[in-house]
Amino acid sequence: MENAKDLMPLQCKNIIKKYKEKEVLHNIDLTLESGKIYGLIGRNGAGKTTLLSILAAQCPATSGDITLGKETVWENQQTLSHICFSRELNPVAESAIASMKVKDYLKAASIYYPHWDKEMADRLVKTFELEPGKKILKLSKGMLSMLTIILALASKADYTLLDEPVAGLDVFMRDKFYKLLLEEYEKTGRTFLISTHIIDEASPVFEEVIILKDGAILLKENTEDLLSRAVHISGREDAVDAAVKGLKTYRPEKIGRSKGITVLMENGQEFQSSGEISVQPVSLQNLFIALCGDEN
Amino acid sequence: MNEGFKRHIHYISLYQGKIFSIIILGGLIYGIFLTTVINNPPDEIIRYLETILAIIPCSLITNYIRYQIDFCLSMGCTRRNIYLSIYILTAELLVESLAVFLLMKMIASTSITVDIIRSFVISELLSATLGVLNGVLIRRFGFAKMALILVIIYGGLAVFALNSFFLMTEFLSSPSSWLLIIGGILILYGLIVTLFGKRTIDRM
Repeated sequence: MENAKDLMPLQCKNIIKKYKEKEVLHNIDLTLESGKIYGLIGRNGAGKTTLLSILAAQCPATSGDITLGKETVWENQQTLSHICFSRELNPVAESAIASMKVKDYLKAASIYYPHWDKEMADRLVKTFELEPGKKILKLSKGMLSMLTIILALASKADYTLLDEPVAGLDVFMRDKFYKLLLEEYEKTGRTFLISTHIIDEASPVFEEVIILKDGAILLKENTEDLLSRAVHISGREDAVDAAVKGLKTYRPEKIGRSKGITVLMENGQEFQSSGEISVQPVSLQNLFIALCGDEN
Repeated sequence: MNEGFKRHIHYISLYQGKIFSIIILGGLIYGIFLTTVINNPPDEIIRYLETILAIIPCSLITNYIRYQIDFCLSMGCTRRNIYLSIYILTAELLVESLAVFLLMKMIASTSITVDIIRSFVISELLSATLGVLNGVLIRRFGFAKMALILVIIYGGLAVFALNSFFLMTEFLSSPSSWLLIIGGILILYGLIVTLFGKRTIDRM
């Protein structure tokens, strides 16, 4: 497969999604440039899966457009052949996949995805120790995740969207997944958009992070740049307050006369340094908690 | 034919093959049972075969709409290809079951008239229409709420399929008022399917 880094960007403009009267996505503008690994994080119900479904044209937006380059994605088989959305499998008794075996599912995938890599799929089935003859209904949550990972990687789609691919996987399998992902990325330069709740573990893999809060994009930024702007400042309350004056602060914690607070500085801003405060770097997970946690 | 549609038809043919094998195997066992144990005359057996052939489009299309559409969408198939495949599935089933039916008639050395073919084609088309309607309604309301409607539809279909030859011949030659009512209801079904089906698939 040729390197996919030169592909046109996948863009969505003014995406609104309503379920009856409830608006779950508010005016989303997002551009995914090719050749990057994006992390999509947000709380439960923030709209991550809905956004991924809309990007892959599996769910219609109430309004707005999705384009790949200049071509629309909706109902366009040409553009859809560049996109794979590997969603969480939920094989309830009355669904098509419930009656399928692992090999049937992969066979179906090989039919639908034009660049399907059978050799890779077979190799990953062995790596993850999945039984091809086993019914999907009987797979554990971890095994279902492995199957979604195989679909995502073997599809060889230029834009691959994964919805919580590591849910249910143990730490060894998660580690294996990140390694496989990076190997594939280095080899092909494909674009991955990965939603996850296991943030700190995945953050080294994300070149850019997209935080979704209450159906809107709170920020989209290079992960390193974002973390370089964030610090946690603690110390005596008055010293901390003086240090962060004029800066955007989040999630203050008070214990007696001490205070801790997360600060997200704009480019060029700095906090007032003094010997009475302690400054620590913030992990992506803690920054996410500070930005998206309850106000109180 | 676009590439995506070719791939979708490829998948459907595999799925169809699986369902067909189950129904035909069941039908074969049933046929062997009828000929060997009950020793029915050929005409009776053909009528049973008609029942099975009428159930095939209904079951297959119901199953397809109920279970397969979400899966096909999740694999990147477009909605337009899904609508097209429903029409093609109906046409294909009609042609295939008609061929089997005519073959059986020939084996039984019974004369084939235009009326027989016409009544058979209409009964198969109606059965396929019911299949689409079933699928759409089950999708929309779920099995619990659909229980009563299903009993009525399948009960009606069973009676209809068992007597399709007789009923349709009657209907086509000398339509009585109650047959006209049934015909009217079925046409209404077709209209509802067209409206409901497209909207339901669009909303997925």
